[in-house]
Amino acid sequence: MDQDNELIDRYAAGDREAFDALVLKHQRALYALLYRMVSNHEDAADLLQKTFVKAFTGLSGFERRSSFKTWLYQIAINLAKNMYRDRAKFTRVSIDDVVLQRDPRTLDALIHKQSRLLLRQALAGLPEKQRMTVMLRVQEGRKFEEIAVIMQCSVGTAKANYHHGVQKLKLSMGEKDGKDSTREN
Amino acid sequence: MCIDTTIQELLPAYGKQTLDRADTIRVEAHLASCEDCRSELALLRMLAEEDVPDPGPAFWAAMPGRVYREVQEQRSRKKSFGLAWVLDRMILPNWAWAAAAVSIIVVVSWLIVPHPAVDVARTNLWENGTANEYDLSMEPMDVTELSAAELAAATSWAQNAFAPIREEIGEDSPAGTERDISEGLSELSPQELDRVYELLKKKEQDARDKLRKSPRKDNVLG
Repeated sequence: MDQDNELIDRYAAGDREAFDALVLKHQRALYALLYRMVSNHEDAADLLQKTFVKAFTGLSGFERRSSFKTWLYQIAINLAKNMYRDRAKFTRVSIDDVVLQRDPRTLDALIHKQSRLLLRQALAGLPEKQRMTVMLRVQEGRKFEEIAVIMQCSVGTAKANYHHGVQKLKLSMGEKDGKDSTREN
Repeated sequence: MCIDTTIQELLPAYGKQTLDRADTIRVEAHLASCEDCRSELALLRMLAEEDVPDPGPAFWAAMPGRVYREVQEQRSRKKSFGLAWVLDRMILPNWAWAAAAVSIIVVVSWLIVPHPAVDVARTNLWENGTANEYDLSMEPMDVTELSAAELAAATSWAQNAFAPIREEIGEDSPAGTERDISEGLSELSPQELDRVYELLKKKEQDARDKLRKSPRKDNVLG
């Protein structure tokens, strides 16, 4: 991350190449995160550009207590959250009322069917903080400490959001599997 | 349902094979006996493998330029914000600008153009009751042009204005001036009369000078 700080210093001194290097370095990971959140290229590309613009125009607010990448993730997630709220365009499968104690043993069958679409829908149906925490942990491979910084919460809260999110996904997938099995029979 | 949250928190890293050796052995030992965590691992792998389509090299190559231009634009907008804010709020209708311009011209003209001397002769000092514009050097006016009211006011003013002169003359006069002056004057020779005339003229002039130098309140008429 020291390399990022060095590039930031060079950019602040007027080095355009340092600017390009920072964007090129982080754009793919950020795009993947955003795409998984919004599920379409146009919105992901728009949010990616907005994330970088917000980061570079507000660079004086970057206090370097976390890594530049974590800071970018923080901005990207906030922008994505705003987009969710503003547009409310994403069809969500409501699973908030799923009872966590239900038996998820039927999950294996569905996983073997590679039902990615169902999983995507189940993920989209999670409450915002749980969905983003699961994405950051599972898809981005971020540590809970980093997730806590990005989501601006405690490590304990990040862990709780993760566990609740994963449990709901498992139950949701198991529930769908049950319905499909009934249909097939 | 498994409640070993420590293992569950390690599963994503195990799935990505980024755990150290000790944690890897620990997780594998748990997985061997926990069906719930095996299911969760399978779910996490499926999530992690969620494909993100690649927008293509052109998209990646163009992104730094797009971002840079937008950053520059936002900065220039920020810089001009202060001036733009002021100008936006100074937008007034044309008539207001015209009125303001005319007002300024009138005021400046009044200040820089010399004003013509006030024609005191045409100024009704008597009615105004002020002698601030009174000028002893002015041309005598024709009293026949005055109305009865103006004449009365002028008379009143003259009595007040010349009272000090009369007092001055009275103080300087020898004793016995209460008697009929015409009687005394008739006894004087022409040379003496000329001398008295010169003396009176001088006294009058002194009195006028004194009046001119006296405080303004003394000049107030009426």
